[in-house]
Amino acid sequence: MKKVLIPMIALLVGLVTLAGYFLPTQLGPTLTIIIGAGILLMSAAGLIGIGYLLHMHIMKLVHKERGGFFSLIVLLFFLVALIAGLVLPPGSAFYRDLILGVQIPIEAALLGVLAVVLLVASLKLIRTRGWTPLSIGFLSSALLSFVFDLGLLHAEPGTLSAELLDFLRGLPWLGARGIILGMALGGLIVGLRVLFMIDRPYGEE
Amino acid sequence: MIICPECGTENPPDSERCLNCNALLTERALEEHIEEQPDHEESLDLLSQGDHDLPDLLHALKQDGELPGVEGEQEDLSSEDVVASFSLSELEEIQPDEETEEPGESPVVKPDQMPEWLQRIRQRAKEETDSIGEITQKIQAAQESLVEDKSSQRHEDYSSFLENLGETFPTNDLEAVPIKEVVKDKDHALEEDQEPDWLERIRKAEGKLGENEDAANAGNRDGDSLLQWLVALEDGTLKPPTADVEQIEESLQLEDSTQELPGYDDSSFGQAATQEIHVVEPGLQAPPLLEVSKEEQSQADQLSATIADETAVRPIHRRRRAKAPWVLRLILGVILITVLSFGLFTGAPVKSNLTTLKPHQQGLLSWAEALSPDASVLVIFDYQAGFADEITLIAQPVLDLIIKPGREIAILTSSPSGMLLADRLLNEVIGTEDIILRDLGFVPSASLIAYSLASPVTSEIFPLELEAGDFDGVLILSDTFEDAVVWIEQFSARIPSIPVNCLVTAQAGPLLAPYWESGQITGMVSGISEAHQLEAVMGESTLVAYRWRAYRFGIFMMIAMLVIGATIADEGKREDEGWGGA
Amino acid sequence: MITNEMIWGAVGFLLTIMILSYLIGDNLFFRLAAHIFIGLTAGYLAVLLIRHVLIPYLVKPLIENPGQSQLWMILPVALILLLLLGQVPRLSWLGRIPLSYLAGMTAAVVIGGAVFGTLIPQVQTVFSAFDPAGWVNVSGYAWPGIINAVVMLIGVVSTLSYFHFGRKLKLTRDEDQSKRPLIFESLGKLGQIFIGITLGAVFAGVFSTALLALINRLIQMGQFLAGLLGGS
Repeated sequence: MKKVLIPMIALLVGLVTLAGYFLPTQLGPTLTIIIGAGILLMSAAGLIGIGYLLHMHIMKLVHKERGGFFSLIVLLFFLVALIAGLVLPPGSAFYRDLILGVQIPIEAALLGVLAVVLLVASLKLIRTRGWTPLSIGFLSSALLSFVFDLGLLHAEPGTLSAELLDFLRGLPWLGARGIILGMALGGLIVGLRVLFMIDRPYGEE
Repeated sequence: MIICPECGTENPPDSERCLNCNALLTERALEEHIEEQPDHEESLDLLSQGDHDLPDLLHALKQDGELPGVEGEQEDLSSEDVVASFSLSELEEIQPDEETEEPGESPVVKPDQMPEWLQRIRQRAKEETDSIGEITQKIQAAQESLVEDKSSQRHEDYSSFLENLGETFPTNDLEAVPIKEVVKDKDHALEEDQEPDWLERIRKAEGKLGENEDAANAGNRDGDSLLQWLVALEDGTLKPPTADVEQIEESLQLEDSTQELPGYDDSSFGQAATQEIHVVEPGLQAPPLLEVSKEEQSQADQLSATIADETAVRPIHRRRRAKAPWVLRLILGVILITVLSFGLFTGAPVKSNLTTLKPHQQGLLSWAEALSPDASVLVIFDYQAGFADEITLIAQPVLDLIIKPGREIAILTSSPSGMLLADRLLNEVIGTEDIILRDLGFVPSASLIAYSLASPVTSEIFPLELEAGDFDGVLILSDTFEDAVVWIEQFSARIPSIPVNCLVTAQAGPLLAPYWESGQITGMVSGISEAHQLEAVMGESTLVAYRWRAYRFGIFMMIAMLVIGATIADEGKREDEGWGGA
Repeated sequence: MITNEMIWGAVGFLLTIMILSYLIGDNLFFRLAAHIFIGLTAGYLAVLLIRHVLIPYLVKPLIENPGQSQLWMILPVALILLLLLGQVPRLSWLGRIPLSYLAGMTAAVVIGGAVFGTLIPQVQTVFSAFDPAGWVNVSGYAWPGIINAVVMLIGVVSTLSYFHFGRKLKLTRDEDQSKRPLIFESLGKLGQIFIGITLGAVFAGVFSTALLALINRLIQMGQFLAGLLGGS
């Protein structure tokens, strides 16, 4: 019974949602309930996920495992953010500065480290991959994009050189279309597999 | 046999007097009866040697005519008679148990006529109660100790080994058996003091026996045993034997148990069920033989082939990995930071020379400029905190165009930091004092809220109080392609009439361009380079221009790294890695 | 005088240095900064979900307006209760019901967006590129439009040929490697070039974004140091 009931729920909800693309007005009220319930369910699932994270770090502290100091740091700053967020009024400037004052420097610095890592990777690009069509296209397109980025190449509109530059500037978009079409086809197949109960990401008995 | 106590001569059992010295054979002589043993002669020889000295001495004295008191012709007298004539009475005193059966027949010698040597003998006999027995005991003890020493050796020598075999030949407790006379090979009639032929061959082969050397004179040599030789051979301390060793081994029953098939030779390997393999050990010319079956040989061949294949030289691509990869990373990082700092804090802001915007940039500008004074715009903040500065640089000129007094701006966010970032951007950067601001809040799922927003019916559960027709355009601020596409797909699928514009980072721009080409996006600005152009065209802000020099230095550095990497690449073409997959 | 900006500037300066220390390898400071980020973000997310989603859209309607008009709240309440009961090991199968609900709904939205939001419009664009009306551009030449249309078609088809969408190749033998028709194989090789060109442009965009983030960080640190030195 469980094996049939649970996948049938997914199929039923999925079909109603898909039908909303074709019958938006007729299924409007139903869809608002279904979608609204889904959004609230996602929020509750997010809180449960945060609970799992805290549970893991608490167990690390209780069992005195390696890395317990960092688990203590996580729990400490979690409590600070939670208590401050619930106590302080919404839109508090201090709370905004507290959160963004930590997130922006850390995330931006991580991007800075990424920039250095990309420099090192570009030095070893051909040595690692070799001279393949993919690497040649990659290298030439990257160089061209950087050159265009700097604005070093420009031509008067309406001239042949402008047309050529536009063509070169648009070359990456040709492959991009193929990539996004491939991604859309992949998403379509995965969605159909879930609806037709071939794949069951919600678990099986 | 009865041994004469005087001279030690063996006399028949029924004789009363010694045949040699004519001494009386008393009961004591009867008690000293020994079995007929050829080895006994040696000890007996020792005894008899000493005993023979006395008769020789007496004989010499007889010849000189110095024997007094001896009746009859002295030449006819035996040594016993001579001794008896001198000391018969003393002998009776020394040997009180002995009874003289014929005392009357022995000649009597007067004490004053006794020679000096006889007096010394008598004196000693008086002093030592059993001199003869003591000598015998000493000899026996010496031989017993010798036997014990030999048996305590780690490797029993040949003689002791043979002595163990000689348990079947009982020996006299008082007399040791000559070693080389113990073993008797029944097959071979060994003479006295002769070794077996096979032992002689072994010793010849070992080189311990000279060519002219007689085996009988080899004697019992130390370390000369068969066992010792075999042990030395195993340890490899022995020289390889000569060809005769094979014959010796055959005689020692070390023949191979396998039987040669008719017509077998090395070339016909594999045809036989088993094969003899000569295992060659270092130092040996004749290696021991080993039985190996056909299956085992095939497995051994496979193993050797596998080992040969594994150890074969192959063109292997070796990746040169730096021992400390962080060194290069640190060096390049320091150089990059230095170059950027130099570009930031030196020189004036650099404005863009380009005055012509790209089509997608122009589309955004056109839409923004075409908005009515009371337009309602939905601004979606869907980027992370790390991209806040870049989005601020890109969005500020456009937001300056859109956010005008009297217009309604609805703010919706699906990223956790979106609300705070929107607050920061709108309140601190732009200023929203005269603007109608509707904060729709945070929604955890962009796809679901986009689907819901596009519905013509207001949601009962999630009442955003916003319908499809409530806004004149959507402005998506996103940092990645995936987040922006979710909004674009739902809006273009459900409400294609609503203009959608994107302000995205440089990494999302190339993949969003096809959506602009297809008309799903009205306008788009991606990255600092397009923001630089926009800033130059609009001519208001210089934020991008201030950073442009440092940005250019960084790009030049990346171009240099790409060129250097392509120049120093020493790897050849690699084979295609196969098909990709979705 | 210590201002708010100086305090947060100092915090930002310190955190930036701790993260940039990763250039010399993983170390204590980097991990400390990362774990501070994790804890703070988790706490803020919990506040966001509780204060901006669950309380206004679930708790408040149930408390303030309990009645028949709120019957539709039964569905989300029931689903959330099932999800919570699913955390009990014996009742874990109950938690699969709300998850299947979410999976079905999300799959449908993804299907609809992929089909109506990407596949159909993009295919229409490829076909419309061969419309002669659109070939003539500002310069007045038609051949760029024609070339553009042909290259676009070749690029799309070759890029799609590069993918095999999870088809299980039974690579029992080396010959099975090239079981696909020769035309698809050739187009796939060409598709690699187009994909390489696109990925090169994406790589340039990623580096551009990362570089700008580093530049902005350096500006912030410079402003803090300037304020510190100027203030002292």
